[in-house]
Amino acid sequence: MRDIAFGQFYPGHSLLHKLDPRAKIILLVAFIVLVFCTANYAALAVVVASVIGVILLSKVPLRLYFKSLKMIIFIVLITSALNLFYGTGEPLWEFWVFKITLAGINNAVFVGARIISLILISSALTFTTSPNDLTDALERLMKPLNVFHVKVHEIAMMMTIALRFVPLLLEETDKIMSAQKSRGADMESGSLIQRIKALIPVLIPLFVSAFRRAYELAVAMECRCYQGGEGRTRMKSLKLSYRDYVSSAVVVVLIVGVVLCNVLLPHTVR
Amino acid sequence: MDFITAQNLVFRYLEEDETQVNTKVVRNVLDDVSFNIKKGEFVALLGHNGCGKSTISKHLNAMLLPDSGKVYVDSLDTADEDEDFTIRKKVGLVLQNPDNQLVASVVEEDVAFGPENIGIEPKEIRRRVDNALKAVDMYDYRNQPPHKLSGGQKQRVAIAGIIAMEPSCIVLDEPTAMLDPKGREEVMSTIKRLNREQGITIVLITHYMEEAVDADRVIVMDDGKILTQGTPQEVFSQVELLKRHRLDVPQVTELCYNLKARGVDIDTLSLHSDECIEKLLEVLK
Repeated sequence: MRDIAFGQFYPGHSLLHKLDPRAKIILLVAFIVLVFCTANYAALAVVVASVIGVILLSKVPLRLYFKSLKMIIFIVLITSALNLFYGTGEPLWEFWVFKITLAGINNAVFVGARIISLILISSALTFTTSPNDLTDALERLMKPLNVFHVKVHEIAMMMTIALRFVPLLLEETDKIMSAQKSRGADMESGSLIQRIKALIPVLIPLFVSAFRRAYELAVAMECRCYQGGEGRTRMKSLKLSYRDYVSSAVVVVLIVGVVLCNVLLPHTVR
Repeated sequence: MDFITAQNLVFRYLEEDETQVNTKVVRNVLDDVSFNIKKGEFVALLGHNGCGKSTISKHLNAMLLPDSGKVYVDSLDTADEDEDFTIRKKVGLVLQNPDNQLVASVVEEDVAFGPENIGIEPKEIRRRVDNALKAVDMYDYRNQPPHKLSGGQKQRVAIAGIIAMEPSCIVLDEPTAMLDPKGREEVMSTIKRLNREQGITIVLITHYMEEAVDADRVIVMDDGKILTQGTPQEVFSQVELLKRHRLDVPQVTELCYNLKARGVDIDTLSLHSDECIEKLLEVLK
């Protein structure tokens, strides 16, 4: 239970690990837009090549990437299959109501490649950025939202505390389960509904203890002069380095490349 | 004026009456308690569970306010709301359960939490965090997540989080109650070192008599009142009084006391085992 890889962070010292988390998030968003702008195979090739490049740069074992793909492989297959049969134009192959056209094949390939690229590139972000850095970066990036009275600091603080208490509550769940089992609770047999019912004696003590913890934490935070985000400073200030500028430049080159491919070559998909 | 002065503290709350349903009775958790604590002193506050000692700890940093009476910290009245954070900067409180007082999932970021709250410059925070972690001997663990540490280590990180705010006084509310003997030893030696080397005033709330023997002064609480106070020698020599209130004395003190009761000619007042051994050897000669 404790081994749940939270946030799936894979510690390392690669170039991607060293990038500023804010830069990584912005570049990720730019890249996601780029993935959906590909209109022909040349542009798609640029995107796929850069995804492979990012994966290699992250120095994270490939099997972790396969693991994150495994979870969405059905979505990829189903959407690709649907697209395959919804193409317009001259049918290449026909059976009853099903017909496969060249456009259909193209659509299927594009949809599949886009989703896989999306998953891989976002995994690269979570693999190379610790949850703390992510929270921190999100807080700083969302700061302008303060103007719209979005409680950015409070949201970030909640995320920090959640990250801190997840391993603790998992450990506690384990303990309560053992305690209930030693009193004869049966959690492994019976129908699904019976097993869900068997979880109630685990969940109630867990909730009670979570509230108690929350109260004590609030007292401890107040003792340490916590008074919200106002007037608060941070020990670690994020600083953009030459690496961040170089990677941004690379992404700009990619965008130019994809746009050029789209403009100069005929479009294969809409 | 002493660093902390408590004058005639009364704190009460309504409690469910056990004999009658739906009626509340007033319970005096603190009943006319007065004491003072000097700068640089190491005071141990002893007593049973529910005798009001934890309530006192929260009065010392304005987390609770007395129903009547006054608490002054460095001449500031805790009832003055504007001074709450000034007082909490001066008096840090360490709680019993180390798990529930750590906020961040990296040790050094947790230690930085306090200084960040009071708006210290980033460079200065870095310096304070490093110093605080070195003071509790946890510097090598600065990049670890707290859930990978032992209880004693976590409690030391919690103490570092308070030290980083550079308080003049640290109040510890049963900091060792949830720890194993090794963790207890780690925390106790850290506390004593901070008192000795950095001159931080320590108020240690505990129910382990052994932890109180090294204090400069011991205050014994029972049922919301101060039973007795003085140096450890003065307090623990009153074995009958403590026994009558179902309080323990250190094991060695009890041993000597029982020996004397059986007619052995021995001085009852020894607080440490070495001391006791010397006395026993003399008797056995």
